Amino acid sequence: MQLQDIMSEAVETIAASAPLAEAAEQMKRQEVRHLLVTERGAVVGVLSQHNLPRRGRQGRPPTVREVMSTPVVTAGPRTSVREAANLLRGHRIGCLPVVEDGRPVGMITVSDLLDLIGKGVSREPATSSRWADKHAGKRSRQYTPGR
Amino acid sequence: MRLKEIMSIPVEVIGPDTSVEDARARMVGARIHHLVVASGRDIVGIVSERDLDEAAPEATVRPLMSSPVITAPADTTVADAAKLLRGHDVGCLPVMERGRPIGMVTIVDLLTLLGKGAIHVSPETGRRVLSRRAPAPAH
Repeated sequence: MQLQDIMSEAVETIAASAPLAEAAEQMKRQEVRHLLVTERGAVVGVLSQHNLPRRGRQGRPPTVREVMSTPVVTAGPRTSVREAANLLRGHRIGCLPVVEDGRPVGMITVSDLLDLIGKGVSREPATSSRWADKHAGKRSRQYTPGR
Repeated sequence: MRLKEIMSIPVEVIGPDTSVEDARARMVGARIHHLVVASGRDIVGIVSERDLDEAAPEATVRPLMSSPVITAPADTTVADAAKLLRGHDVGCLPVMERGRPIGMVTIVDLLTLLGKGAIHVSPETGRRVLSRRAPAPAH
C-alpha cells in the first residue's frame, strides 16, 4: 500500500514568518497537531503542537520559524506504508509530509498508521518469522523494541 | 498477533514520590521512554520522558504523571492495541496479566512491526482512514 492511498490531502500550512500564536490558533481551529511550514510554496519545516512553548515568554512574540523542526523528512505519494513507518520511527517524528515535485500534496501521521493497524489484519507469527529469516541482516539483529 | 508476543519486558515501575531525577535515570538506564507509576499493587499513572521536560530534578513525578492509565490484557490483538492507543491518545499500554503489569507496548513498537512487514494492512481498509480521520483532542 502506498501513501497516496491513505494520506490526508487537506494539508494545513502556515508561513514561516507567521507569529506562533497564529499557529496555535490554527491548530486548535482545524483540530490538527501538525502544520506544514512553507515559504514561497516550498516546504521548509514542520510545526508540531509539542514545539509550542508551554509558558509565555517575555519580549517580542516568537515566529513559527524560530521553533519549527527543520530540515523536514518527507515522503513521496508512492512511498510504501511500510517505508513510512520506518521513517517515522527512525527519525522519531510524528508526521510525514508527502511531497511531489517540491509541492506538498498530503500528510501522514502516526495516528493515521495506528488507524490502519487498528483496521488491518495482523499476519500470523509464521509469516513474520519467515520474513525475519529472509531479512536476517545487520539491521534486524540490532533491533531492540523501544518504549 | 497478541501483545504477549511483542511486548517489551520487564516493565520499569516507580512510586509516585520518586524524584524526576531518579525517574530520568531509570529511563536512561533501561533505554526506555515510559515508566509505570504504582502505589502498592495499583497502577496510578504513567510518566513519559516528555512529561519530565522542564521539571525540577528534585520534584516528584506525582503531579507530572498521566492518569488514569489505559492497560491491556496480554491476549489483546495488535489491532485492538492500536485502537486503544489511538482512541485514548496515549503513547504506551502496560500489558497486564492477573492484575499485574508484565510488559509494555508502545506506539513505536507498533511502527516497528509495520516497518518490518510483520503487520499486513490492506488497501480496502486503508481507504477508510481518510473519511474516518478523527479530530485531535483540544489540549
